[in-house]
Amino acid sequence: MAPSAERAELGLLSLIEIAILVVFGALAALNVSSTMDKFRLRKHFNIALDNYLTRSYPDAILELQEECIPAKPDFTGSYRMLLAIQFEQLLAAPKTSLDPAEKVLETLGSHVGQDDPTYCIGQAALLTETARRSGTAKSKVPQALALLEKARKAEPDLSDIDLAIATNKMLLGDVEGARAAVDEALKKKKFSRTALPYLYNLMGVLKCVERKFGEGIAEFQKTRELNPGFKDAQYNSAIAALQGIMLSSDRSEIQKYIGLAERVIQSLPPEQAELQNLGRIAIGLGYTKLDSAKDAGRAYESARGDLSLYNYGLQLARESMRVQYSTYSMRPAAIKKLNEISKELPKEQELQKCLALAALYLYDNNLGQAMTFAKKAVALDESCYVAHRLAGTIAYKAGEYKEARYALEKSLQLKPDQHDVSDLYQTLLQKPTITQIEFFEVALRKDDQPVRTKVGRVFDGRTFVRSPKPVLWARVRSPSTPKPLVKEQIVCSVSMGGRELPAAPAFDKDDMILIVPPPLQPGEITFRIKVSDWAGNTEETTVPVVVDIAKPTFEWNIEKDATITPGKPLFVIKLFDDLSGIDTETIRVSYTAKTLKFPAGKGVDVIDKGIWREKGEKANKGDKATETISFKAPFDVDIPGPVWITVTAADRAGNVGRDERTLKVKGETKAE
Amino acid sequence: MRGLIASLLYFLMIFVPLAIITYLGVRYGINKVDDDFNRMNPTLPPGKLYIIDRTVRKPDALQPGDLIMFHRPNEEKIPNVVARVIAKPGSVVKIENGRAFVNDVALPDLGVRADLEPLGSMIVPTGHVCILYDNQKTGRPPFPEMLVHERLILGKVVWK
Repeated sequence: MAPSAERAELGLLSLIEIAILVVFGALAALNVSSTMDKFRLRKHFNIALDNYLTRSYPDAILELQEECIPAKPDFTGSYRMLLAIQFEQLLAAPKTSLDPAEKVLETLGSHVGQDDPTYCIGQAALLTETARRSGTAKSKVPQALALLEKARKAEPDLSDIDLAIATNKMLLGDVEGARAAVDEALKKKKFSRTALPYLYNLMGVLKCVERKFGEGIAEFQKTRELNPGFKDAQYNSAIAALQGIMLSSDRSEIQKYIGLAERVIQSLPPEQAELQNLGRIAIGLGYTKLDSAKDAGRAYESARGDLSLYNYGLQLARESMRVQYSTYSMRPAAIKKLNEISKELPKEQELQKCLALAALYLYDNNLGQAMTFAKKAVALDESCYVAHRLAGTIAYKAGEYKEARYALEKSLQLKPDQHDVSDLYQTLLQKPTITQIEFFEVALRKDDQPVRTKVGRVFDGRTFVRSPKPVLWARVRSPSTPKPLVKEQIVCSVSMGGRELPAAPAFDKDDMILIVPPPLQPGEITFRIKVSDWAGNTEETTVPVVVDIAKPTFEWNIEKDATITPGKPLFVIKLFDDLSGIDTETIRVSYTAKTLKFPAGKGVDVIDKGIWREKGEKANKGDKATETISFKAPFDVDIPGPVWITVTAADRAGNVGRDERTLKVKGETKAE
Repeated sequence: MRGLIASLLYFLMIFVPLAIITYLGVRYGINKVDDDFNRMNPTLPPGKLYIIDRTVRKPDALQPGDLIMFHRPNEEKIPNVVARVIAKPGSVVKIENGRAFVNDVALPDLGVRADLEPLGSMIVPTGHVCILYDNQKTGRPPFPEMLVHERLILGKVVWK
């Protein structure tokens, strides 16, 4: 090879080598730069994490905002930590501004888009917090729930999302939904450390909803152990302890809740002075229930301020129909304090004052005053179910049952799930009852003492009376109210053949009434009784009766004093009763011969028994009805001496008829 | 040629042990229990030497019963201590009647027992392990302190 060619080849090789070196060099430089960036991000993120773990939040925020986010703006870990810090600070200071969290979310959204699960979770948390602060749960919470559902699709295993869903459902008042979401979260068991206090706080709330206040307080205690600055848990503990005192009847339970309440209210911050006051009053109430008047008085004395009395009164009003308090020394003081408030109050506070006074007067049995304040409360807010409930309870206690019924109905319309009110309301709706209807005839004995004889009988659902002067007795009861009925509430009438007869009711004793009609003619009579009770319920009953005073009549196939041939003759007897008809069970036949005597009803072989009607007539009720009986003599009628055959029968009203035949036997003459 | 091989062998004799020592030095560390730290007595009495494996730091790589050395950022006097892992993320820890339970199973006796303060059922969050000291006469730490973030774990005790 020529030296020039060699040189050229060498030059080319050198160029290739240089190019390769340059490419590798560039790649290496890029890689080093990228690795260095990663190292830098990891270093600063770890510093931020250290600060976060040691609760040095300002340092952590600075590290994240100044180093981590500029180093890698689309790294969601930085934003998660920032948001966790923002919301953890909110727990300790609930009035902190939400602007920093909004800014973080804005930055995150611009880098990773609005479908990123971290963005969705953060945005939902922001909406939830806004809803909590402004009381706009109905408008904000559904949006938050939609965002959380989106996040759950992206990260289905993260319990924190279920927990956030539970919190939002709780805000909407959907307790069952919240419980289901908490159960779902517990199943996954993948919680971040920040979410744990929320979990136990929510579990505590759910326990309190089930009225397991002790268990609820234990859950709040866990929250406090995890995060002592969790203000909501502190507040919830206090409320749970107070509710425990209010609603427990067991002495040891009350004692336990008093201890818990004392500890909890001591730990409350000064801004919760109102809750402290309420707590002290509840503790006083607890001691009152334990009959420890001295401790109760001390607790009441330590309660300060006017506003606490509104809450206290409202609490009393709410619980008034559930818990019966025995004695209550604070009551007069509370009434006095509330009445001393001379300044004009805002509508809401005025309403609470009226409710409190109504409840307090109700417990003092000053029903007039109680009703005045309850009516005032209703006038202040027609939509306040507690006001209507109180008005209803007071009216009920005062015996104004119609008014009570109206007020309780109104309260239930506004809040249907008040079971105790519902029970009382249902009681008020019960109709009066008219039972044990009987007919008697009253006669005076020789010593002028009245004697009652039952004159009414019931056959096939129809009543038959065998007296022209029957007196109706009936038991009239009113289960809706404890107040007994008076005769003005009972209206009676008696009608006969379309003609109204006068009849006034009178009370016999307790709840028995009697109705005395004028003398009646035989035939169809209708008694009507209408009862109206104190709550406005009415009940009416109609009693149709047949008055039948005639005895049955008999028609024989043989004449009186007839002479019969010896043997077993066939007797046929027709029994007549026009109005009520024959009671076939009462037909009795007896024979009496000189030497033989058969007891009534025995030895008679009735071979035919049935309804007999006039030819061509239809078989309708009330027809001219009769019974026909035919029978053979149970012995050979050839004995000496006369034979007496007696027939007795009663009609359905109980009128008894009797007829007999004295017969001669043909052979008797011969024998003689 | 011989000279080249000799040089290479000489280099390897120096470099390989150095590399091994460096690797061992980076991975393992010898520590001593602080004289004032008796919460792991008698498992690890004060003054006792132990070796940790610095590569085992993630909760997934640890098992209940393992001893770990971890950093306590808020403690200035004895910042690094040893404790026993009792539960991994997602486990439910509870202390009842003086005894600790993990997922409703009572922990075996591994050290000095004492009646521990009760603790309601608590879940171990992700990225954390739950620890307890063997000498329970010294009392249990508050639950947040029982939760050790993986970032604060310095290694698993492999020899004591």
